[in-house]
Amino acid sequence: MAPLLEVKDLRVTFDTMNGLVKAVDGVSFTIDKGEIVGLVGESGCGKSVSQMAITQLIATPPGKIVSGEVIFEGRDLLKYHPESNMMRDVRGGQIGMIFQEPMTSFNPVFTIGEQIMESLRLHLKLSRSAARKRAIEVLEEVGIPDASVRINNYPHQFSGGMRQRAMIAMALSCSPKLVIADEPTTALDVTTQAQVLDIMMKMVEHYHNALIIVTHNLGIIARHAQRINVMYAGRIVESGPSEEVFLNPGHPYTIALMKSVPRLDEKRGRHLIPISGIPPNLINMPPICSFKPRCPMVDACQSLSDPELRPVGKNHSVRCHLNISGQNSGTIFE
Amino acid sequence: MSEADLETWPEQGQNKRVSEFQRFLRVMFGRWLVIFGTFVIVLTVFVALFAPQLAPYNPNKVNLREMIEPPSAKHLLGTDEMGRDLLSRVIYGSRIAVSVGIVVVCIAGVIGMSLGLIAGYFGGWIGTMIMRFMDALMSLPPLVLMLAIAVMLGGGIAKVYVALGIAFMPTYCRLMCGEILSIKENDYVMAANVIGAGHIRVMFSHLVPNAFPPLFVMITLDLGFAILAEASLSFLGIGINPPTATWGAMINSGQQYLLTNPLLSIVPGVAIVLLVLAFNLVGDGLRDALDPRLRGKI
Amino acid sequence: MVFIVTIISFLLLHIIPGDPVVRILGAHATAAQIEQLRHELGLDQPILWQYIHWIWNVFHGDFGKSFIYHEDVGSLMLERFPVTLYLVSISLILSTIIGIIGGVISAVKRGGVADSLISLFANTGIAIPSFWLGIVGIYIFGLKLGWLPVQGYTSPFGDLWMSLKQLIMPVFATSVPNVAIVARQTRSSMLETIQQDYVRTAKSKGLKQRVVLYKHALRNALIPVVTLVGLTLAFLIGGEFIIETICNIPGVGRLLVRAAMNKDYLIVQGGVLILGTAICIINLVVDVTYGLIDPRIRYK
Repeated sequence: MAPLLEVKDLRVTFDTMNGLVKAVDGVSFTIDKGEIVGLVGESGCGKSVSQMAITQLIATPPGKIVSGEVIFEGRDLLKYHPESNMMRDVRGGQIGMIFQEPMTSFNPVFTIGEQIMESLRLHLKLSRSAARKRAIEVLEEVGIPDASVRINNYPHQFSGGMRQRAMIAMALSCSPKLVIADEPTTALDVTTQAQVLDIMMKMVEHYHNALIIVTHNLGIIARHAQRINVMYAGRIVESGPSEEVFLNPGHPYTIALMKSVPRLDEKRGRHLIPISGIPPNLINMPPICSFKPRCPMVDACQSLSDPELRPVGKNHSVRCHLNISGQNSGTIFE
Repeated sequence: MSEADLETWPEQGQNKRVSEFQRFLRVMFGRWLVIFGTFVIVLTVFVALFAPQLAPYNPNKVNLREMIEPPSAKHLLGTDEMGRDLLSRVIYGSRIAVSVGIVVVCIAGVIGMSLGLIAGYFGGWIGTMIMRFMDALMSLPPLVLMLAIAVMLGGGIAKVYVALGIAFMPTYCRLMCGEILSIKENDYVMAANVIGAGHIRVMFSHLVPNAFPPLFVMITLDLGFAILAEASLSFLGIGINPPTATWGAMINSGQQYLLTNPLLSIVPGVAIVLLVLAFNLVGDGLRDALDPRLRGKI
Repeated sequence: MVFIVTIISFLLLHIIPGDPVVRILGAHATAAQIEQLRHELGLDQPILWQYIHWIWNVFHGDFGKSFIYHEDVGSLMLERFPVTLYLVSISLILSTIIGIIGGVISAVKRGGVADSLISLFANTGIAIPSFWLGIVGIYIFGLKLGWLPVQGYTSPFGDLWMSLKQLIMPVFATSVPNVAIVARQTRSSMLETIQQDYVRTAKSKGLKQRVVLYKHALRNALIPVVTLVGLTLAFLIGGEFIIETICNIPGVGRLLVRAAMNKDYLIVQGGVLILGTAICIINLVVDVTYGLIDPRIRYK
């Protein structure tokens, strides 16, 4: 069965005062209908940019989608003009987006209800009253109490968690085939995070949307995602079924990420293991492995070239010269 | 790709990192409009300083035989109703313009900022009183206010300076007060207080330097607006001691002779527009270069 | 607030050095004349008393009598008020609308030709003295081309066409600086709004570009512009007053300017008071409107 979305060799650059930033440098991945895929990486690795590029939401004066294909349901979206009917249909109707900052993602001068209804009337061509009913329905589904009253509230009258729920409601209201959630809970406090995430996953599982969840929280991926893509410095460095990747991580960065997460079952007094070094500057990158400066395995690595993605298992590929997947990676870093 | 190549590859983190000052200069003078503005200002100051050398004639020399002449080889811009050379008068007018700008902004700035500093730092009823007073001052049409003050104080250019100074003062006061209020909350101020720094020290070492950037932009813009304001007053006949040439008065007296030598009114106006525009452009450039966050605040 | 305005208006006259009576009567007045006028004006009473007396009268609508016109200050102003109102309101409305349109175009087409032109105009517009613009206008359109009347005023209730024709020049001269200010503010406000997250959200919902800009962005961008209207009103009025003097329009401005020149201080005092109060009231209205437009303020 053909995948719902196939991204091939996407490249996005930004022209800044300090030089040309290669934010996304050859990213390829696929997602099937109803599948949940996680995208992990540090801040600045290009995960958000790559997702915004799918619906051509990148601001094109400084930004530029240089090359690549974004094949959604058989059609390459990048071949269409950002403001064309095709793209606007897709945005919101076929691909819904949930953004990170609930505080500022809603327009302060319109009610929550109006903003959700806007989407419904545009894509589902509902009448005002039908749209209103559906909006109330979907708000109830995300757990907003008293939805028929609160639908008339303005964004500032909602708390952060509630706003994010409303955001989820808005993104899912038109039953899009794909939902892209860009760090949906990063800006919330921890207890709210769990609640909001729960709701989101419930909705997605209920409506069978495909979901790309961008995050730097491995726990979320471990619980919900079927596949995981790990990004570093604008590229995917590891990709595979999440269970496989968690059990047999193949890239030193993935391993380091997992090691850096504190666990409840650890011995007390054990130090946290951060990843040494700082994220790379994406301007003028040398043509070697981008992780080399920070790689704990650097001594074992003899190659000076830029590694390609190589398969190391069923549907599991890694961008590294070494082949450490499957080894007992636990002892390497102790 | 060899080891040697890697050695010479520019180190991460040294990619064209520009210093703050370089960035400032680049943004500031990156627009040709700002360069143009700076040029005009420098030119005007130059003309004002060297007016006696640059003007072809004595601006006050009356020559009733050559009244209201259109531009000619002898008088490049023609003459006014007293036979005085227009070009020379315009050149000398720049002196008044430049001095007005500087003096008024000094008065308004010093008084306004001091009051703003006091209001912001001490707060309480003094602060409220000062701010209310400023608000009231600002709610009067500036022209009317300046007019009333200047006239009531009696004529003469010194009184005009005072009147303008008073009219321009509230903006500095409010801006300063606002800045101080927000800076006051910063931790480093608290730290200074904790180590026992006295009021004066805190005010001048910490608060004022940090409050300055937006005020700096305001000063630049006001230099232009003060000139505009003075022109309005001298147009109405206030503040000038004839036969001194000020651009505003020249526009006024030229009104009656529009058909014979329209330049009498037009040229001084053009001078005003160019100079004030220059200050605006430079002020804008300064604002964008100092801190893009200020855009829209001033 | 208004209270302070009254104090300022009053003090304008009384803290200044020199004797107003002498200035009114001229240097040749005899001591007896000076004394008499002083007594008539109540200037020989203590300052506080004078202030209270004046305020008291003001509350009863009595602003005193003008020296020059020998008429009630109050009625003098009242006569001229509608004229000024007519001129000012047309200027205000026109300049605000044109300014907003210009600012929006400039922001939406940022970096393009339209933007550069509009921005240049906006920057220049603030630098132009309105009286000079008036004179240039008179020269070009009145004298050289003969299209428009140069001076004078006709009530719109009299001859509408003539009234409008005579208005064009003064309104134009007064409006230009205001258009520039409004355009600048709208442009920068719009540019800032376009960068906001909710605009990105609106786009991600698949809304047409036009809808995103004019429904979502513009409404937010206009909020600071509305407050600006209140602030620039004082400025607009100032410019308008001079225009009245040039174009010989019988409005409050011309009265006030002449009174100031002639040291007719009661008019000046009364005028400053009324103007200040009017502007305070208008600012209040603006504050309320602000609450209507921005729900965040409304529900606080």
